[in-house]
Amino acid sequence: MDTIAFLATGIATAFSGWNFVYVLIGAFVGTWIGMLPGLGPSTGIALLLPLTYGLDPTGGMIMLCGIYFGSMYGGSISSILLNTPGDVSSVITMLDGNPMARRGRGGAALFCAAVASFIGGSVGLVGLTFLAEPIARFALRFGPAEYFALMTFALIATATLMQGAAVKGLMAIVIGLMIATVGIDLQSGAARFTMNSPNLFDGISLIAVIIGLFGISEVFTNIQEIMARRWGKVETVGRLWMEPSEWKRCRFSFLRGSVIGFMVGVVPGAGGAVATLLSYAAERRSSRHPEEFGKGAIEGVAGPEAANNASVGGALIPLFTLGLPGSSATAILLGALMIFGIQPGPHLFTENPDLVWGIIGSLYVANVVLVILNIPFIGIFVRMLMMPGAPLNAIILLLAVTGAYSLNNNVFDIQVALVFGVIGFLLRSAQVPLAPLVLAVALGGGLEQSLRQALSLSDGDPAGLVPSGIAAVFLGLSALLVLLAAILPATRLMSPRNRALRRAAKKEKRPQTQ
Amino acid sequence: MRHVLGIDRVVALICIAVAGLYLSASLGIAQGSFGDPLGPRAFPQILGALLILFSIITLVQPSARQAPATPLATLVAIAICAALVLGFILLLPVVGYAATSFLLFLGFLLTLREPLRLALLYAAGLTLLFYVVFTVLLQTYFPPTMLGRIF
Repeated sequence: MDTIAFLATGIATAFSGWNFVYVLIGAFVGTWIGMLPGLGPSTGIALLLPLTYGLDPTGGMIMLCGIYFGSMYGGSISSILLNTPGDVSSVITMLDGNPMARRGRGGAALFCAAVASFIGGSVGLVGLTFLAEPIARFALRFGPAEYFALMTFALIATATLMQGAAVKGLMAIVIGLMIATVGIDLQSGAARFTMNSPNLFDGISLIAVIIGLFGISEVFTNIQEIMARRWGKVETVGRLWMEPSEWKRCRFSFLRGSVIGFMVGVVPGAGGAVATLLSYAAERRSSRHPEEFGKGAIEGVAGPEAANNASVGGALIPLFTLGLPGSSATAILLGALMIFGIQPGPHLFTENPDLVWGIIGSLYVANVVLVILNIPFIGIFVRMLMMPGAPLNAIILLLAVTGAYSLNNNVFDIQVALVFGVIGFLLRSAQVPLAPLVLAVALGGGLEQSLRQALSLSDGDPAGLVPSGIAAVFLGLSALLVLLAAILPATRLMSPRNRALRRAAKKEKRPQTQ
Repeated sequence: MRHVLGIDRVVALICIAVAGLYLSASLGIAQGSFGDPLGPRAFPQILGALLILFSIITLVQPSARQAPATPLATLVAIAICAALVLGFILLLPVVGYAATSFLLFLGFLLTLREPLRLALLYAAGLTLLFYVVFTVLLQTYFPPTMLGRIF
């Protein structure tokens, strides 16, 4: 069967039985979760995962992917109307979307975001449809050394490409890998860091860690906002339509953003945040009115929103074909696949074609559903956005606690989630990124096993880690990223502007010390 | 201490302490064997050493722009919230899901200074919603309690 036939079967799966209802529920709930301040795709999927435990794998994954896609749409609503992004990837939309809303053009910004999300989502899905299978076939050549190199690259890329200090990203990765070492070692059978607790023999549950890091720590962070009375004020929506001049200004932005978003989405670790940032820079460079950016330029909404949703299709490629999540949201989807007893990787397309094509087909359906849902129902979403902070966070907290419990019907997982809630709060306060940590927990076991298998095959010779060009390329890229992360801050520090600033600061200090 | 050191250094010090404990615990793991040159001990030891290295870098060079210290009242509210979850864990096998959910909601809302009447109303409504979703619709298994399975 060729790709088109598989896709047709997938779309038919999305409409069969209850699956279409799951698409609708996922899209609606995802949009709602995504637009709530501070809640993005990762938290949304982690919190709503327990709702899918009773479903069959295809239905469950269809609903989760609907939530993922929906929350990407929803993120723009709070960015535009509340000036509070649901997730990091919606921050850029806020720069021009909110000034538009303050000028009474919130409706146009929301309409533009919905159209951009639809176009971006479609481009990303087309890329996923046609590139996933060839990449999966290519990945069949990978041995332990190639997997080790690829996972190392994915983790280092996540740590160094994220905003903020690279050393903190690397710290997050090491903490995540340490968490992944807890449990019975698969190769030797030795118990590691289990403290003789049977609850830890199988390791620390990835989902409990995610619920703690994203759900409970989010509530802790929101408590700060509520107590400081910074819970957002909703701007008015205005008329939901774009003027002909606005359409004209946006037409190429939609396409540019989609292409950038898809390409960046495929790179592990880059994700929606980097995609929106690059797209915004591209829009500003190519605009005839760069001075309007930051003050309500509609291209500043169109490009990044298209990039954000196109990155979803891109990010699903390494997940489905290599079992390699590129973002925290796809790491949770990886955990969900494992809960359903499915191992993503090159064999997924041959062993579970119904499931994987069902998911891809349902994403196409969800994309259409979302654009239909987002435009006429925007008023309902805005009303839901006005929910006060305290009860909303109470809901998030109990969803997190109940979700952790229902993983194994065991209160131990709630304890794990609580501990990681506190750790997450501390790390967020120190601006240590959580996404690399989650990715490291998800990939840690596989990374260590691949490393040890590769060294076993070479009788302990480190040269066995580079048996092929593929491994050499990924390890070389990883080394390059670490080198760049170490050099760039130093060069920025030595730039003429910074040197001038330091000299000025010294001059200011001198009179005080004398 | 947070004001003197800054959150970066506090987190770096905690990480060094955790890495030290982790490294000392890793000494109790068996060494590599034939066919597994690295063994189950080496990887954790590399990680422990790396965490100490990165923490020292953070300790020496903390971020120039750090988040302002969280006010004490907020920290107390967060601690109460964590204690409420601990209470939920302890009470769930005793009084069941609905009662513990109600107490968690009520405690959380009162901690965030919601008026008592409104908090009671929210807690009752949300408890009913969660009970219906998780117990009736999703059939989540909660342990039997001294009040039976209904609550």
